[in-house]
Amino acid sequence: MQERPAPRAVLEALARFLLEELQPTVTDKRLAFRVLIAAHLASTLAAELEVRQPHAAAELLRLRALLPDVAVPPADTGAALRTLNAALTDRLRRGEALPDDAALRAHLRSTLSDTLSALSPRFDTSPDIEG
Amino acid sequence: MAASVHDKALAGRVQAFLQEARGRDVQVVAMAPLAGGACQEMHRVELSTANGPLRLVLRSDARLPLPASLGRCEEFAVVQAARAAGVPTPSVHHLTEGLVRPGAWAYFMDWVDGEAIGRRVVKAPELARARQQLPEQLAQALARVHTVTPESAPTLPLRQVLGGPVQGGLAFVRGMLDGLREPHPALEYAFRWLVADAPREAPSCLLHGDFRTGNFLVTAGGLAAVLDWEFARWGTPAEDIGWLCVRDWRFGQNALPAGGLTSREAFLEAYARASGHRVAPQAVHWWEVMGNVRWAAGSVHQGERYLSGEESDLEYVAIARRAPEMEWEALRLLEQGG
Repeated sequence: MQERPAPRAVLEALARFLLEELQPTVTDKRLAFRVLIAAHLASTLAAELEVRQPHAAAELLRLRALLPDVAVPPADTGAALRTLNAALTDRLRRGEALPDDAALRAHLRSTLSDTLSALSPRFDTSPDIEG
Repeated sequence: MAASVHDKALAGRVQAFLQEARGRDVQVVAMAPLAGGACQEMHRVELSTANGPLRLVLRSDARLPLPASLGRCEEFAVVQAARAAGVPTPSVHHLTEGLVRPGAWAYFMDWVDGEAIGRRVVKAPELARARQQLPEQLAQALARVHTVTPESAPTLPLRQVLGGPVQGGLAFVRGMLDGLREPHPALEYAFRWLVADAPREAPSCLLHGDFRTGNFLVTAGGLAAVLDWEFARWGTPAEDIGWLCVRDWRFGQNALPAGGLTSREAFLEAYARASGHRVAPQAVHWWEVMGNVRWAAGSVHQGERYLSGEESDLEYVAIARRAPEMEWEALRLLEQGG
């Protein structure tokens, strides 16, 4: 399989083209804004491709520790994450007691902060944003 | 009719309608769709009349209304009630059906100049003096909205919330969470906290329902008008104030929680001066968490509208990818406490 240019490089090239070459030429304000959105989507997807696997692996480890009784399909991270997140959501919805509230909150924070680092790189995840 | 119209057939109908309503001297000079207000269809309408030029906005029912949004008939009545209560918002005229599309209601609004784009309202150097006035002016406007009650306006076509604003709000958000197509454990966690910490019910009044930076028209003198009443409903004042404080409407001015303009405390003080009522900060905190959960679920649902083929605007895809921001903020807030 040809690996160069890698998907990340292609998305970065796409973002650069949209932002640097196309956007300055678009006079329609609504369209110009959508070109900015498109460039942002391409560049955040590039970042996401890079971290998706390590983030999913870390999320899976934390979820297995939080929900040791939930059986998950072996060797399929995506399916295991779907099963565990569905089980966790279901328990929270039913108001079932969860073993360790602090660990659960730390897990939710880690998962969101990993996602945000790729999808919203400028989003400030420090706890004291209000100064 | 001049050539600068986007949709000649619509412009023709608008001219005939306005000639009937306002006089034969009315001519459509220009007409173009307005950006912003993603949910409703709006057009800028430039007219020439015997008394000189006139600019109006034509606001129509959307093809695909959002859940919980009002139709133009109800919205027209709400705007009239808000204006009667002294809220600065554009005058509305000529409610009618079928002008824009068969079955769709629409009305005209006076054009008001000003800046509505949130990022500019909270940051533009030329609006620095306006920002000093805005917290007080917004508190006064909001206090006036809240003077309208189910008792003072019994004919206002808004449904009473079953069980009160708190339980009604929880039921609405529960429905939104149940409609999500994949699990969002952070939202379930926050929802569980909302149920456990729910404030006591309070008497209902009219809420703007989307009172936030981005829906305020601002000029150098401060607040020119409050816009977009499509989410108006009966509720409790803390709900409108909590929504104003939702992080997404600060446009980066994170240290100024009330709309990116001032602190929560200063806004609550201004609201107390304007209304004579103190709103408990704990209730505002609860509604702010609620607002973040609601907006997180709402943004995911907007992405689903694209994925289902209902909408074709790229912005819906981008908004859905921002849901984790609101989820994060809901957790941050509930961990901090009110």
